[in-house]
Amino acid sequence: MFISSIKDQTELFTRPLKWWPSNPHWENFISAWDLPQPPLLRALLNSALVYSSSTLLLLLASSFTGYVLAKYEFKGRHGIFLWIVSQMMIPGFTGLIPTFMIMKWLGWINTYWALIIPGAFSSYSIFLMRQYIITIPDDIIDAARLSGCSEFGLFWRIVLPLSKPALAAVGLINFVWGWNDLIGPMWYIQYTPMKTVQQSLGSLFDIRSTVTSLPGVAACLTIVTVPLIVLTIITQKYLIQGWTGLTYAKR
Amino acid sequence: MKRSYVPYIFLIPFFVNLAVFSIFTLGFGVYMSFTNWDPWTSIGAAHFVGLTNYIRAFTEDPVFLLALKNAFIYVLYEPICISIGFFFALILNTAIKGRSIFRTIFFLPVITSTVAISFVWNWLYDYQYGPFNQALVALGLPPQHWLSQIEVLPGVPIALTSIMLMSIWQWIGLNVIIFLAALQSIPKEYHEAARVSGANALSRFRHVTIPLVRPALLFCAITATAGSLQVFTEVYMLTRGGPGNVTQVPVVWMTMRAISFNEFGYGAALAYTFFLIILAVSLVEIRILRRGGMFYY
Repeated sequence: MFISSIKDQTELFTRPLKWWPSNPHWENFISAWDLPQPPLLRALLNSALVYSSSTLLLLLASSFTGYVLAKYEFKGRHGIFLWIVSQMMIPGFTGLIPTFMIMKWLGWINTYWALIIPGAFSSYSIFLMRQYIITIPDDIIDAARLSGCSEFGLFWRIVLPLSKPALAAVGLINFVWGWNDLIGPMWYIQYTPMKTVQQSLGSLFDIRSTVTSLPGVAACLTIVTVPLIVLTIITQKYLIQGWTGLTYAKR
Repeated sequence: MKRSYVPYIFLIPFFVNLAVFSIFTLGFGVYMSFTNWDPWTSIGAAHFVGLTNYIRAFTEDPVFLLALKNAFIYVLYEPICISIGFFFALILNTAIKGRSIFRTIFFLPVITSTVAISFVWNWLYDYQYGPFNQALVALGLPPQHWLSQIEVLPGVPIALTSIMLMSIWQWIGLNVIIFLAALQSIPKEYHEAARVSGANALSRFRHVTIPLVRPALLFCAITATAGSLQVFTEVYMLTRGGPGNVTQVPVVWMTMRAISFNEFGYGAALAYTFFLIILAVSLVEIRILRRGGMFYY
């Protein structure tokens, strides 16, 4: 992908295949920004705004829920936990049509809310947070409670800082999933300037044959993928921990 | 433990979501699937049509049946993917150097978007200039129309297998990482103990490694089946269900019926039919895996 992005048009279509271009065309990276609809920068900003806010909300909501499920005794706890586990079995597409209608009634079609709010809830995330928080010793929480910490303070000062690895893992996984999602935006966002990165890339599919600027397409793909690669390399530890957690949660 | 109202305050976001996006969506969606509603008229104008939508799905909609069949063929990429992934994990587990580099490399396709991957594979599959065909030609073999309806096996168009190949490539990395984590969580003492009691490498593998990574295998198999039956982006990007409808899959078809044909009621009926099928498959799968150990593939 990267190599194709610095070739020129004719070189991409030579036989036999060349692995490295004879003179790299770095300017493909400049022209690439305007190639898709909406322009790549706008799409990147859309996606960044939508998925970072939905990830933050998600972390808050799922650590709230995970915390009470792990550390409190109350009526209905068992029922709520069962509900969450069973929700994990329900595939996302069943909700697409009714959710679309709710969005329409709320007037959220073609707004960021349509992607942020549904993205802020995930049974998997609640489940993972609960599994992690349950490993925090009760003694720590009780000690803080005895020294006069408020219930919310317990959560904010004790539980949240201690669950940083889980938060990082859950947040990253959800961010990456959101960033790479095509079906959600396809349903809820039809107004071009609001479209996300994946839709923007998708628009290249249609011009691919006519404009025939494949190196530009490849440059776009590179621009979109590189941030994720960097993110992965930096946060590899947490990402993999998250996935392992997911695996053992099922045991 | 005390102050009984506290947990419920923390649960407010959960309850809001439960009311709006879980219970209401489910109830409304199920109701909608019994009507002939389209989104541009008010709900009052919709007629209750009973089970008509569900019956139509199985009697008047050959594409839906074809899509179901395709989804179940597509899922077969998964055992291949799990086997190869497990194999790589075993190799990487013995390697001492460079493990983290390999881990990163394996993880890259997982975090790269399917849309981007589809573009690259579209080019790989290109008839005239794609590397696959160039390699075939270099070997003296005839080039292939990778995304066409030519059948490789009876009832299986080559386009579908091409999509499966792409998915295998994309998801191997995730399997490797999950299995690697599982392998590394096995305490070294177990292997030592087995060795001391005279177990050879093969029986150590069979009686120590396999039972201990079984939960990971179970997890991969179940999530992958439910997930891949819902394949959307891969098919949408590579073939749009075509040529014709030979590579159509349920979620793409449902989206097309609902958005392009404005048949929301019918689309909802397709969604719930397909959901019940997935649920049944998952339940059967859990039973089989529980009972038969891992080598049921």
